[in-house]
Amino acid sequence: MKKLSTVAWRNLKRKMSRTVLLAGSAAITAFILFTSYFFVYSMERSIDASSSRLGAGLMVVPKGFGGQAGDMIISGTPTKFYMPASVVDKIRTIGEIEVASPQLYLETVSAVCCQTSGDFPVVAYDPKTDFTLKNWTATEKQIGKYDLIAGAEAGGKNYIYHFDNEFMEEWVTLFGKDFMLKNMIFPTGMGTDKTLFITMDAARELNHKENKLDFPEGSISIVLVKTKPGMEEFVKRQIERLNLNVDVVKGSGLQETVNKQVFPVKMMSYMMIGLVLIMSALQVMTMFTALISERQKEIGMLRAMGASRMVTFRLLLMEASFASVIGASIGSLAAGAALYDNRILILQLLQLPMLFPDWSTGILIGLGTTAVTTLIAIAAAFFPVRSTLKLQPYEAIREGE
Amino acid sequence: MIMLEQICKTYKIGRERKIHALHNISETVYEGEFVAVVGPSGSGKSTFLAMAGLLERPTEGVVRFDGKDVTNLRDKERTRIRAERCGFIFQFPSLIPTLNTLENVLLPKTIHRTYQASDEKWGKEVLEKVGLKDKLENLPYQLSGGEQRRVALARALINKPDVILADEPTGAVDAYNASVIVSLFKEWNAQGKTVIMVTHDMKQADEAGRIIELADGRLKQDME
Repeated sequence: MKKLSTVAWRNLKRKMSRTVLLAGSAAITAFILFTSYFFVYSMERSIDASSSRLGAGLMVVPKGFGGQAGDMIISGTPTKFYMPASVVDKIRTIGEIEVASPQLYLETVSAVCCQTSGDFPVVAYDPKTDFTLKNWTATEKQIGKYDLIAGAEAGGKNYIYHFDNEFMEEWVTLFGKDFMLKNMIFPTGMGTDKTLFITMDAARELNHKENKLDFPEGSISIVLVKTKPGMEEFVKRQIERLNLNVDVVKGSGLQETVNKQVFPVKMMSYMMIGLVLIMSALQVMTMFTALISERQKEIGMLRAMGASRMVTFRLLLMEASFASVIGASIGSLAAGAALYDNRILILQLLQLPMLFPDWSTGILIGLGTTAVTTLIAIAAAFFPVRSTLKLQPYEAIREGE
Repeated sequence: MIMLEQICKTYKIGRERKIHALHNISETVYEGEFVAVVGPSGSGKSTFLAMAGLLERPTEGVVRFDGKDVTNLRDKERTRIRAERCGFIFQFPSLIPTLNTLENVLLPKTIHRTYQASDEKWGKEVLEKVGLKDKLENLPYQLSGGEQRRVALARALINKPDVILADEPTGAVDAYNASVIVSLFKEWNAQGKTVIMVTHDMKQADEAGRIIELADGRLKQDME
């Protein structure tokens, strides 16, 4: 037995009930930490996505419709307004613009989507330049001309539960043409949740009165603009100077709406993280105080046999860290598995705009949670251990008797 | 080898109460001696041993080890002296229940971070000396009380100490094991090791070359 770590490990095995308690407490801490941070991260990510879609960008609409642009996106109210598609090309000439993507508001159609009938606003978008929907889609599938993207609630409340199922294949008839449902958009809490998105090319091809689709040829409804960071105001003025007969609306108001919506949950999550950390530290401190007092005689004896304060310190903290690493890993794994396995259900239940992190980020969050939980356990164990090690070996033996 | 000069030790109990465990004790234990420290309960025997073994600092007085004042040495230095020069045997065997006999014996090497491959051979030899060579793999609960005490003796010898300090090593042990333990002390003393044994059993004390008797923390008599 060459290593101190072996002694620490065997000590843990010595009193399994104590070890299970310590590891269990770490597991619960890690579970709550992981879950809380996971939600906060998901919401932050969704706000980032919405800012790339709405907040940081600009929306260009025909003159006189500026006031309705925001309402349209938040509430999903169908509004028909059109301007020439050439507006996009003119806007793109401004150097401070990163992307400009047009959308065309078509009709609100009564249709059946995923065995659910309802009235759905239909919007045409340009998959080549889109930078808004792609941040919210459930999968990374390639979109073809007659493929459809549906909002989270467009297929009824339950369809998104089954969207992961590879055998699911849904067709929706719109404007006399069958569209294949290729992707879904996670809940955003906005109008997009009920909207069906088809490609701009398909909309233009189907633009005939017999298809009950009638919009001016070569027109668009809105241009969503992503500017270089901090250049919104400048670009807004530049567009206005082009005299395109348009209104330019800043998206920051919409981002504020999203922020307001998630703020209470975010705050609650942060508070929970703080409380869990404090509670966990107090718990480990209490357990270690009892454990150290129970083993004071043994500690005194180890010191008498030649263990320096530092070695004894390391031995006891190793025990705390081993139990915590095991517990925290189990807690993080359980939380990760539960959240990923039920993510669609969670989104449906919470009805909040959230973008779950991908697997690799989830693993990083798990590792971080395990590390934080272990560090808290070590820090909490530090104080009772330190106070015992202040005693002389004989004092520790006497007090432990 | 170990010199206690005018040692006083006072323990505080609560804010007000004080216990004077040792009063002005001056004693010298020479190299190669076998000393028994006797006296009734509460006479300060164990505190005397703790002072001699650097397990406790005196309230007043000076402790010298090989002529060097070690009273106020840093804890690290005192630990090093304990690990390299002293072997302790306590009233209780205090074996780690999840370590087997050999691992318990090698524990001082592990915790002092001086473990070498050759130590295992020496550990087995020491266990053979205390009559436990067939029980190397046994866990403490598989040993009798007397056997556990002998494992603790072997553990005290693993660092090849110059001085062995034993605090009532035969307490709660049957007569046979008690005589085995005292015989081992005599054998080690004959090999040149210094032995300081605390006991309340005068029969065992008579086996030592010198008896220090304490009463109420004071030196009552020192007999050759």
